[in-house]
Amino acid sequence: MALLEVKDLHVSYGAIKAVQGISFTVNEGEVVTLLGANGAGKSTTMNTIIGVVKAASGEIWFQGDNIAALPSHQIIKRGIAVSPEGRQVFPRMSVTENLRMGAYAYSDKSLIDEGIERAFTLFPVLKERNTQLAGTLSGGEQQMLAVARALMGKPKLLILDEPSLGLAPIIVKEIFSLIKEINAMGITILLVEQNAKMALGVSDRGYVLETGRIVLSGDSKDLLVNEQVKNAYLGG
Amino acid sequence: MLLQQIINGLTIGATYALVAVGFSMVYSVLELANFANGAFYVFAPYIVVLLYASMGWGFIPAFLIAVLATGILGAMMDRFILTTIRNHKAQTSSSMVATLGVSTVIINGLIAVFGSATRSLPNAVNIGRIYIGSAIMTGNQLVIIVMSVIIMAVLSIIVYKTKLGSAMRSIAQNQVASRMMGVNVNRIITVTFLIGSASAAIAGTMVAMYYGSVDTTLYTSVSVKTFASAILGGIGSVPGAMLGGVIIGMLETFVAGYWTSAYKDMIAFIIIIAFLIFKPNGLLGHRKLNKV
Repeated sequence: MALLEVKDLHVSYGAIKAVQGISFTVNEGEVVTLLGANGAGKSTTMNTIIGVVKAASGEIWFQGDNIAALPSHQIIKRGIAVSPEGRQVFPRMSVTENLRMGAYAYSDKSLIDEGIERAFTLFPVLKERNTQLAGTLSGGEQQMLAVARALMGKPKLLILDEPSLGLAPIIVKEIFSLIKEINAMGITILLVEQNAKMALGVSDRGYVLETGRIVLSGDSKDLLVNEQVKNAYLGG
Repeated sequence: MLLQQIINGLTIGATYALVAVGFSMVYSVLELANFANGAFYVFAPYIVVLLYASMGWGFIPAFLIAVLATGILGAMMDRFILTTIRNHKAQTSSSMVATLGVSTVIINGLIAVFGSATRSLPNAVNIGRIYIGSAIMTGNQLVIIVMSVIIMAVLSIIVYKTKLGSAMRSIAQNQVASRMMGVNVNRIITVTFLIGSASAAIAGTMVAMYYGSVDTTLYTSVSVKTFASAILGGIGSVPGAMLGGVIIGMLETFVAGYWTSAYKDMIAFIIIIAFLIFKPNGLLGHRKLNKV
């Protein structure tokens, strides 16, 4: 059974139809990429899954329940975590406080300690800067913090929304190598990206989103050599 | 004389600080200037007048019920009026006007029930007085200062050391990200209103006791002074609000003591204007961080 199944999802902002009937699945243990250019509806889809934006119609099934109508705090509690586009760390909180916020939905103290330990092991730079205010970190460090924060509650599904955005290639490489590592910890990952080569390189399957519709889907290795994908995302 | 002025200034400053902290907490989670805060400040002592002076309750139960009732009133204002406005994604100014409306309803309701004449509130704290050199600190003053310090310490612990406080601060910094972390944003905001209104209630009752009376015109002056304290300290900053309140209380006491009490209320206005022009982030406020 799929861990996450999105069925015929429509999302509108007033008269603008941002997402127009998309369906896709993420199976347990997979890394799935949602590929698309700016304005394709990727972030809208993510925000709808976690309940920050409400769907106009459609269903979102997570572990056998339709969560489309639930408020975000109840969705997060079920084990979905997100590292949002543009990092969205809390600028006037320390690195450690930001991490604690990642476990807000849980009250188990050992889970929080374990989470912080795991974050510092995965991202040693965060340990060095644990008392520093997140707003003073570099973009790459903030991205690592956003990913580490999302991992705090040991989610069943981790959503990474454009983790490569605005980062130097070397940092992007580092973050993508960690995606494999996180997946190996047993966490299913839904990756939203414009960077097709990197994203398809680490994922099992992919969906290509264009102006609110899925136009292509398949195994990542097939999408990487697909002419349409090559032309649109890999510079021909 | 100087020591006496300092004691008097500290007393009144402590109460301004307490109201300003509640006001600032609400401001920081919503960027909303809650005009109803001054009305809550006046509402509570009237409840105490009703229960304690008119109905003969003990002071402590009357005080506790008044604080609780005011806190619930503040939470209800958020739950039934402001939450609805937020869910419609209206501008903050709509909420601000709504709080202005609520304050008008409360103040006029008080006048309708209790009349517009000043109501007396007999002193319940008879613990004598302390002589410090040539200065006198009354039992009332001592209670006000000690209570304010304790409550502000409790509020600081809530804001900086508890999970509730983390949620409040996260909402102040990034509301959408807070929701993504699983924070029930509307509920936390309602709780913030509960705490803010209860703080105003405590301060208002203590001041009414200090002066021995309460009347609805207090609303205007306390609203301006709360604003001034928050702006002076740095709006949205809890320690800033405390500092701002104490400074304003001190300044107006000094103006009244060494110059004329006719001008004491002017100080708050001068401070608001001066800080808005020269230091809009206040003494301890932070600059708004630009989002990338």
